[in-house]
Amino acid sequence: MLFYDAIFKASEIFGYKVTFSLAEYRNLYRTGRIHTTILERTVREHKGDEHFDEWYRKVLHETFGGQLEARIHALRKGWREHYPIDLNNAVHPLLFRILCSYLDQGIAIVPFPYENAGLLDAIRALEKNSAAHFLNTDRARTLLHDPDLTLEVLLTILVGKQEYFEEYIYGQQFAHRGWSGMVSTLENRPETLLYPKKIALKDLILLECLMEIDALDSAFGLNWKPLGELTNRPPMDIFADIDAKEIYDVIKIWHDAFEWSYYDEALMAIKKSASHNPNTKEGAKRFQAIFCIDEREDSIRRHIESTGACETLGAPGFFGVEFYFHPAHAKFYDKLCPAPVTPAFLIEEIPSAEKHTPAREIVYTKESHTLIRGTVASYILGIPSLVKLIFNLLSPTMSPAIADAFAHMHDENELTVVHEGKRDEARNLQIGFTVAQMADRVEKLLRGIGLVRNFTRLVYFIGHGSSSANNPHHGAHDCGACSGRPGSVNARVAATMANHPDVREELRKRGLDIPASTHFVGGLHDTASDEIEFYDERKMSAEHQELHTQNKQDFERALDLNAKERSRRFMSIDTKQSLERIRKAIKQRSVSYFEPRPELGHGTNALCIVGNRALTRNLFLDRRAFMNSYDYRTDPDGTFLTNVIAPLPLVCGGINLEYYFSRMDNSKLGAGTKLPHNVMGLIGVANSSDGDLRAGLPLQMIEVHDPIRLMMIVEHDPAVVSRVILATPALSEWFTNEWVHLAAFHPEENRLYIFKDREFVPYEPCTDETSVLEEDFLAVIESAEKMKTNNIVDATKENLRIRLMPR
Amino acid sequence: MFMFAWTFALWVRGGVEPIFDAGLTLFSSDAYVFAFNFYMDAISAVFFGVTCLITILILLFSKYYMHRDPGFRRFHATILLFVFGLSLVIFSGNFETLFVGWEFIGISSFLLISFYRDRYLPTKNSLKVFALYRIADTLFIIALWYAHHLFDKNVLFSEFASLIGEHGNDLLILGILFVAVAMIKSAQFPFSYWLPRAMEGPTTSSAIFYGALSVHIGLFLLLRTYPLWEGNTGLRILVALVGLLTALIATSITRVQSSAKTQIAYASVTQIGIMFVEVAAGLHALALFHFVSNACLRTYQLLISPSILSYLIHYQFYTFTPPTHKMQPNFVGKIRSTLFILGLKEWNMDSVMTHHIWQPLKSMGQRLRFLDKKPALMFCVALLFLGMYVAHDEHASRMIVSGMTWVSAVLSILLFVRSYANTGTALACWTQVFFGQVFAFVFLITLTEVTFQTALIYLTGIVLAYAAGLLCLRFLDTGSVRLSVSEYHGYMYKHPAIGNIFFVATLAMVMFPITPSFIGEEVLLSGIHTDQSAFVAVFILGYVLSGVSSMRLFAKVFFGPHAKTYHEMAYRSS
Ligand SMILES: [Zn+2]
Repeated sequence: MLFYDAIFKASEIFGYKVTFSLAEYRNLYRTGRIHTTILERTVREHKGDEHFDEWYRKVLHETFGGQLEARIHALRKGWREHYPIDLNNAVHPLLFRILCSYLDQGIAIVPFPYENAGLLDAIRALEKNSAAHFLNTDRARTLLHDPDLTLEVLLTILVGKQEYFEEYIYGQQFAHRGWSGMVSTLENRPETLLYPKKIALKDLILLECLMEIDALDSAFGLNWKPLGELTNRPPMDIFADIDAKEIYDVIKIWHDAFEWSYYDEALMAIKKSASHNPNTKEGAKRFQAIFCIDEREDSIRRHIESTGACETLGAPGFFGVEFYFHPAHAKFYDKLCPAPVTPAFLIEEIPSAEKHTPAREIVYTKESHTLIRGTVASYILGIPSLVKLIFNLLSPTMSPAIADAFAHMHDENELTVVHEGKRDEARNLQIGFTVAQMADRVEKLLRGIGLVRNFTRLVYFIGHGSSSANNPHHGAHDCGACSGRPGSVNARVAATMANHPDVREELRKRGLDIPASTHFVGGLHDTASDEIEFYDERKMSAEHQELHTQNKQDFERALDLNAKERSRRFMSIDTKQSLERIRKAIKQRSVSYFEPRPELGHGTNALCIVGNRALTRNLFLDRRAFMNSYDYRTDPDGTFLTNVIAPLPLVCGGINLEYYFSRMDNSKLGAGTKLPHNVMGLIGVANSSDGDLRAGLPLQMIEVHDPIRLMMIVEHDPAVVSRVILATPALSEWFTNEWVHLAAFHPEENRLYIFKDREFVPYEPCTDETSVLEEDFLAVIESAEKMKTNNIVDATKENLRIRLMPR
Repeated sequence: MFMFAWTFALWVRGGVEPIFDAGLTLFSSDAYVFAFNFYMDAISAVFFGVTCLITILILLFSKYYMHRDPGFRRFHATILLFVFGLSLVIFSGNFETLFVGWEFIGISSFLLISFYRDRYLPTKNSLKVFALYRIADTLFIIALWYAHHLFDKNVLFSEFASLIGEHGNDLLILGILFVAVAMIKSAQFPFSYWLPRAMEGPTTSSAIFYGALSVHIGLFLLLRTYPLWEGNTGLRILVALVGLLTALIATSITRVQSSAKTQIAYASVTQIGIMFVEVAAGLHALALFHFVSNACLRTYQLLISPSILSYLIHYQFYTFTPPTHKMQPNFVGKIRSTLFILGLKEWNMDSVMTHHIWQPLKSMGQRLRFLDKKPALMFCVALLFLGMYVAHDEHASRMIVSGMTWVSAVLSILLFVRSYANTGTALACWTQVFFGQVFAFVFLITLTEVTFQTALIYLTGIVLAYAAGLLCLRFLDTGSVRLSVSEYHGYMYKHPAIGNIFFVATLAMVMFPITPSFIGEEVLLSGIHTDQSAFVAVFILGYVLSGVSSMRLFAKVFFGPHAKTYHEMAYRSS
């Protein structure tokens, strides 16, 4: 389905806000964020020259009335119209509590009895031998214990007429989409939980119907009629197509103009940057560093290159090695690769003499809540907690309660990277990789990013992770191109593989000659605290170590500047302070309990550039571009391009759309402000003790985000790109349905093409070329405006224009 | 705040002896004096110390935490209002002063719970808590009234010792009233359910209120009034039993709750239960230490409750063993199953309250639809004049006067009940509250000799409130469909100024302390004598209902999701 068709339909069905309001777009136009030339062009493109005047007027001035009622809730509103009862209100709090208690991963002290039986059977067993009951009335209780209970029976009582059944169930479940979604996810993928629970959406629906009957019976006895007999509205197909409306056309024009005001500038800048005389000397680099494609790594790559000694590349942060990871002493495995991949390998962390079991923090223990031990705790722990709180306010430091990216794996523990004939029979995993398997992965990775010659003495794989405190959303700071977990293990494994002598030999046979003097090093960049840790430094030769020590200074310098660049968006840090103080402030944010924005996650992401670094090296992209290295010269017919592009729409486009919708409707599609959030059963957050689970991103992560779709720019001959894209339908539908934009930059012709109606057409940016100024980084950062409010009209001013950087 | 800090300093310099300060007198007549008095002893010192410390920490914490959140300034203003109220309570030298502070705490709690006022659940829960607080306030007023009659003067805390000997057993009722108030405010069984529901605001405000300060205020009241019931062994045992029962029940709830903040809330309630036992046993130093320690611990736990996710998951990753639990189908199993279900349902506290108190009132009100009609209004007005005339006419027979008393009492209650259940227009609802208050006034003046001055004070308060409220509602009620109270309108989003004016009007209408109507009410109430228990009941009902229905009206019109314009709106269930 086309992007706009889909979102407008979703809006009518579910009542979501899927774009800005007309007033907001018009304000964006007034403040200059939407350019006049682009708006005029968009109107012409959409409506043709002959209708230009008419539509231009509509876009700018016409008012459109009408308020939509979400289809999905229409039927069940009937209850309130006919009976003085708010059914949701009567049922939800207890229903949520039962669900949360059943799915609980370890907050409650007493686990849900009979929880292995499945939700409904557990409740049956529990009720059978209890003096208290979840259901208060006889009819509902009899139904619960009826072995032949079917949904039809319950719906006949509640709804009566069959033609309303489906509509009713949808309405019922979407009244709490958080819990319904959680249950249905866990039904399909129970392994997502450390402590898997047997649950099915059908059980939830049965239980909810029973509770509704119970609530109605308690209120009115048996004297109530099924909803189907009360209502006089005809049954409705909730998912029927929607009618075309003028307002949708107007919104489409506005939103396209909003997006293209940015894209046009970006395309212009890339074109200009490509023709910009690159006076950087090839081959004179001291080291190479491969970062994740993550848009947050844009700035550190720019800064480390600015020292002149380094060339950087971008690759998906799992570095092409997919496996389960078993941390030392842990009871579980972590899957360390992008979500759609299912690895067949296991890598174990071998415990060293130094032990890293997690420290216990007594205030978190359940014992502090009980009667006897709780009393002792409340006598003894009160004053120490106060002291701790004061310390965290004055000078925050790392503690066991804080999610620490570096604690994911420990350098002094060895990893079982190389296969030695052992297997994990229970889960059918091979422990470690064989030489051929390692060579495959290293080759694919290096060829994909075009790193096949000019190797420097040291080559770094830098994964990334994020530390943050008091933040139930900290998982959202990691990225899908890694594994949704810190990328340290992948970086270290990839480096170990590439250093393996047999692998080098095998690669040489395959025509990929890595000089013996080249050494690979794994590392982890903490994007919140701006620190880097390196692995297996002890395994380097003395000569490499000397070089490494030198390189580390460059990394440090880059981290300083990176912290400075990031600080411009943080209200509590003065960007003009000394680098030292900024670094300290940035570090403290990541371990402070009271900082809701330790970092801003993927906020502002907008571009995805697949091509040589030369294309972007001189650009100030303001941390808004995913960048995957790819060299069209080493791959003239696009053999590797398929592999390179294939994961990007899902990973980058997925992140982008998550931010898009969370930004557009933070109340329904996002999680709202995170300040009142309450952790529910270690599986989610809700707003209060009785609230629904909140999905999506919290307000604090999306307020800097300009909700525009991802623009993917590939540096290659458009004929090759279009052949690669169209060969895989699963890939091409992202672009043909316009959920992600696609452009190609023809490096030899030096021309831009955009993908429209399944083919590339030439594109001439209309942004004035001179607007891409050459500006000094420090001046740009220090003079940048901070948003006054987080309304889009103000917030978007914080996102800076693309500029050329002087070399 | 500074004033209180200064007092604190003085107290320390003065050698930690209780000090007393006769503050300003707000109202004085022959029969009634309303004065602010201040008093300070070790209890005040401990409570004030903790209040200051935690408030400062929370304000520092919030400075970063709340940054750029909508309502940042409103949050700070409300916190300061709360701290002001709390300080007033802590340093109060008589019950009147204490009560004023008490009301400030109540109203700032309402505002903080409904901090995210454009969502449904915070609005609903703030009303739920307000209703309970209102009951506590009413009991407090009754205690004030009773004390006034008992001692025949405004009793000062510094004089407690001398009073005990004189009155002995009469103090029991006073003691019971204060214990009941303390139970509600400190979330003792069967009122514990409000505490987790009050955690709707930002985590910082939950921490300050429900972890640390607000919920311990009942304990303060117990300690403060302890001399009154110290001699009564029966009451002391009762307090201990309440505390013990609460501790046991709250623990059973804590054990099965699976949401972080709810669990902490009930853990805190458990400890307060134990503090009640300590107070009843006379172990005051221990109770005070327990309070300090518990307040700090729970504040900390609440503030860092978002961390529990990463901490426990990480911890389990290394130590997890699946729980082994076998429920046997025998008697022990039955008790455990029952406790589990009861714990999960919080011992039905909320639903019992709803089904046995609020729901019956609502259905009663729904049957009083005739009060919405025009003739009913005319009848009321006519009756009013008659009532005023009768009350003023010295020659009217006793029969007529007492008939008038009853008629106006019943009418006032009916009007309140109707306005509470009204789902019609907001204007009608507001008018019914107003007439309810006017009849409550007639009811009181027929019982007592009033000066013109008192009557004027009382009437100005409610008439002005009514007029202001009427203007606000008229302003909003311009559309083709009349502004109804059947659903939430969320006008605060569009018209915050109107909302604030209406809020002040509502406060005056519900007799918020130091609005004129409150003084009038206090004076009039003193006219009821201790042997007229039926009238006291009428008053209680009227006071609770007027508060609850006015606040409901305010919330319905100004809180909740605003539906009129196209912007993002939260789900009811969020
Ligand atoms: Zn990544």
